[in-house]
Amino acid sequence: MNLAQLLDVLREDPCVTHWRTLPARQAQWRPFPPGLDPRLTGALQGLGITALYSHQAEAIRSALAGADTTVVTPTASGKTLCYNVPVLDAILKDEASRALYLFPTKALAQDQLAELRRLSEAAAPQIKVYTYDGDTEPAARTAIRAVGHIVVTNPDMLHTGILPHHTRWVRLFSSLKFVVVDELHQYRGVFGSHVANLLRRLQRVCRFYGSSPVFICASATIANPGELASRLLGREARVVDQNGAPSGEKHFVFYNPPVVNRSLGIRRSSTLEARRLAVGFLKAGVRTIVFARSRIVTEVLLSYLKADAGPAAGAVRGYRGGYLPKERREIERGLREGSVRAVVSTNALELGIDIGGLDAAVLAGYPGSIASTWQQAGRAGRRTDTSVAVLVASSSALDQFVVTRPDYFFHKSPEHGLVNPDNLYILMSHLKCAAFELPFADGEEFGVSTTPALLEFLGEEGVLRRTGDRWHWMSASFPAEEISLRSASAENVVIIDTTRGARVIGEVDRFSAPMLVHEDAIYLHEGRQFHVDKLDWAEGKAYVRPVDVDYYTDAELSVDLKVLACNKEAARPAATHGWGDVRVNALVPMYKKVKLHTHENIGSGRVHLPESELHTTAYWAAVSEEALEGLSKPELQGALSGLANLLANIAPLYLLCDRRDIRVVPQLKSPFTGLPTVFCYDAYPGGTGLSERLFSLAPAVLAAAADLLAGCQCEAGCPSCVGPAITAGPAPKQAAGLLLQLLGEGDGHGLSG
Amino acid sequence: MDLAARLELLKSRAQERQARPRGLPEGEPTATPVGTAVVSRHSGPPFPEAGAWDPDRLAWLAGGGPGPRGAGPKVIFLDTETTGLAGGTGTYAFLVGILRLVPAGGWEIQQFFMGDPGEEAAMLTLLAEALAGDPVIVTYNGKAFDWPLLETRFILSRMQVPRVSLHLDLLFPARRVWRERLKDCSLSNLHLAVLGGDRTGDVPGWEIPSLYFEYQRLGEAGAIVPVFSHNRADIRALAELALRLCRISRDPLATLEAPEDLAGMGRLLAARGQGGLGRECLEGAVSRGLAGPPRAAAERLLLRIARRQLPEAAYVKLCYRLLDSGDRSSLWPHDALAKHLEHRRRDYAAAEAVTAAALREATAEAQTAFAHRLARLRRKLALQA
Repeated sequence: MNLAQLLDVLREDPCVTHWRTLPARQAQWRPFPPGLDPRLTGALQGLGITALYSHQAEAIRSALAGADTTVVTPTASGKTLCYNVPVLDAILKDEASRALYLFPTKALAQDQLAELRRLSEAAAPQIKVYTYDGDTEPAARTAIRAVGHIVVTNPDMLHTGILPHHTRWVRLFSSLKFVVVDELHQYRGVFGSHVANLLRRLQRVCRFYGSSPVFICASATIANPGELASRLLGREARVVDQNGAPSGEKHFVFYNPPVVNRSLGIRRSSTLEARRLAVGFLKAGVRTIVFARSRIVTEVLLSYLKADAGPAAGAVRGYRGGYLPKERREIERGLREGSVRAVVSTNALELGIDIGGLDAAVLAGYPGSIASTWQQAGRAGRRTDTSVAVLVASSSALDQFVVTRPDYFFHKSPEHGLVNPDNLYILMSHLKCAAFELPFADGEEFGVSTTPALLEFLGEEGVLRRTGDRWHWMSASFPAEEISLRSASAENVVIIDTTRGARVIGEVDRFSAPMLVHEDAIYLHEGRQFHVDKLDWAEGKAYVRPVDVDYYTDAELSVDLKVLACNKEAARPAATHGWGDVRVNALVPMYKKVKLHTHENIGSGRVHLPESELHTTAYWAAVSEEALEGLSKPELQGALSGLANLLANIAPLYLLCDRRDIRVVPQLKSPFTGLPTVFCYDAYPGGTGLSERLFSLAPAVLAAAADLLAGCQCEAGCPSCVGPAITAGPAPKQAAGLLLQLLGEGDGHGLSG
Repeated sequence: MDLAARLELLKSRAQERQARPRGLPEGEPTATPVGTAVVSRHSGPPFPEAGAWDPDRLAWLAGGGPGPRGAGPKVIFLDTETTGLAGGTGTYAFLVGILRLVPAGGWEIQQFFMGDPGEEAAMLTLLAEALAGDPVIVTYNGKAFDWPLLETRFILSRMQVPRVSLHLDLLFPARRVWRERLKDCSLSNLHLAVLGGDRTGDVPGWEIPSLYFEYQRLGEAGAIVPVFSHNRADIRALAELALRLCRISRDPLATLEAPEDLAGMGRLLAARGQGGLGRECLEGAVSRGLAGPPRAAAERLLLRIARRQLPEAAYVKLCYRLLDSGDRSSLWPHDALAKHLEHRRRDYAAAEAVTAAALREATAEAQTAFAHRLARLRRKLALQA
């Protein structure tokens, strides 16, 4: 069977809830812009590129004309040429020219390096392209600083390794022509706010050396690429979003697994259905990518597909964070060259890593956001041939909502990328770094007009010293070391196979380690099973040996939030609002043994590891019990989780952050307030001021939540308001409405502590 | 009070605050086209070991190549006091001391000081004048710290970085000689333990940034005066260290007492290509009772040099001498001698005796190699018989 025949069979499947066909699109070709260096056009032709897609030509012309440019590119539309061409052209015309490339991760930087070098070496072998990150050998660093034409790095390295030492980079900064910011959509929320300030610092250092680089940004499809770019760069950027790349006909299929237990409403496992679909594709020779939502499911699916593939098992690979870089490069190459026929991945491959176009994508579960879903589905997509993406819904309420109401997905625009570069906490951190890098002159602004007052504050704190008309850094500390751009620590646990001469086979970040490599866990790597004999938590090492058992392990995470101190409080007739310090504890108390194939629970064990602890700040709202007397306990529970879902949807819009930056926890009877309470906490150690701002904005946010609820077209609840009302139970929409009404009562103005 | 509220308060207070007058710790305010900075001058009589001064030798010891020739460039000893150890663009060198040996005898120190960062350009201008003429500079850990920091300061002030014809960092040779005995090879510790200096009342280095910040805040000269004397003590110690290195490298056996130091000097000389004198140092260290792991390392290096340098008979004699010394810090002498006897002299019986003796002394992990050798020697002996 070929893909067309498989699709015919799939069309008849009663589990398909929606089928959408996106028609084929012709390529929009444009000639090379006039005036490009002939060595560059020659190199492009040598690589088989004789013309450009319209969006490439437009972006290149815009950048060459000196305009900051943002290209919005779907997967596999040739975005790298949009920045590589103007950069290489500038270097070919003036050997002194320099460019800086920023990628969100080291892995993405590595990935781009190979392609960039292919083109630069074809154009002129003397052009030097280097990565500069934590892995760069100290001996190589001096050479890179002196002779690197293009330096490829990440925000963290720019933050601690380059900008605070900019005098070692005189050549780069005095001749910097272009700054490339790829994967722009990743710089949202708190991380994006940090990066916006980092770019302020970068531009400040460039001004000192007399350069004013043009920014070229590339973003995946989000609702507001132009706005995000202008917030990050601090100025308007031209948006190029008319995609000129061709694509074949594409089918987007929603698939809801059959009900196996009607009374309990249980459906067949999405994992097993994804397996069945993927095997069908694989057997028909259709090159397939399967996206799973967790690392464990990725590995479980991989071992199934390898078993199903029989002799072709070697052409089925896994891909996720935690594989060693060399292994990942090899898999990416295999995908591009066709020796890998199927890959099972976490969202790691949703990013801009070049793996070419595949024929089929199977999404085992809804990825959680509209933008992610389009990104993952976009991995299947050929220039001329037909491709298909199948979304397999799990039993979760959110998945069921999406799969049964396709219009919600297809008609809603993807998520916004929101950042707030002027978040006071973040701004202050970077103002310190900026002052460390160069003294501030009177009248100089760092993003905000209140800069003088902020400098005065740092002077009072004793880290800045004012002399004449300048503020100088006067402290023995190194501020960039004290500020992490990301919430997650960079520390990891390496996984060591003790049976083959203590070989490192993978790594896992500290946060996930208690769930994946606790003692007696079955750790899955490339579909192979390893038993964890010992986890040395202090040293960050897990010792494993290969085993062959018929189960895998799945650990649970329990989260507990405790109020340490209430800093602000506002009483209302039927509610109390608060803001204060909280401690959030995450503990992995136990794990389950799950039998392969049947997914039966066949045992469990305890995990003995320290809790991870986050000290942060939270806003909370508690409702008095008298006012809720009419509600039953399940109704109250539904109302609280509905309110939590509403706040999780609305609060980021007011705080200009990402959903992942602020977490919402409902408590039916909070030990602190003694009442039904919803907590919203900053997902960063020490807090980033988001919850504090939420406290003062609470009346507006709650009013907006009430508006949204009243205006929502759904009957009983949907992911945009109180959450999907698929599970049986009292209507959460009405109960949440009552809660909102109680919380907002008596409010004319903002809260004050 | 939250951040925003404090900011409001500060805004109102900002106008009221005024710069406080600052006291002059010492020296003379000196004008330049870009402002005024302080220069403090000191001089003194010749150092006790001044006669040992040999810039060529110092350059060679510090691995700086051939060194200054003839009446070539002047030599300047340099040390900085900074606002922190972190490095990077936000760390200032607020006090730079340089010392010159005066041809007529004695020394001169100039200290360049900025009372606040506004005087940095003037201070660097004065320093650059003093460093004119492509001098040789001598520092302690200056290659990693002081000089890159000064380069950064010059770049940030948009000034040319002064050219130096050679930079000799004495950290490397000093560590080679004294690390084994002293562990802490900071300049102030060498001053105390090697040069017999007295640092009573000296401020510890880690306190210096906060003393400077305090001086800036309160303007009281008393806070910063001890840093000036600390800097002078360090830079004089640096010059004395240079003289000491010149002296002891010329005649180590007569000038170094501790066997550890002698072994260290042996290593340094060997690394600089003076294997002959290096070997004598190592032998001297061993015969003066060097023990434990340092002895093992010294014996190993000594035997490696001696095998290439000494006549065969003398080499064997050295091996036996080490063997008979009774020290069992290492079995390198056994190992070297057994190899030599077996492969060069083909004296299997003698080799067997040495190997058997070694096997009795050897630790479990070292036994395998000796046991292999012993078995092989016995096979060879059996064949001969």
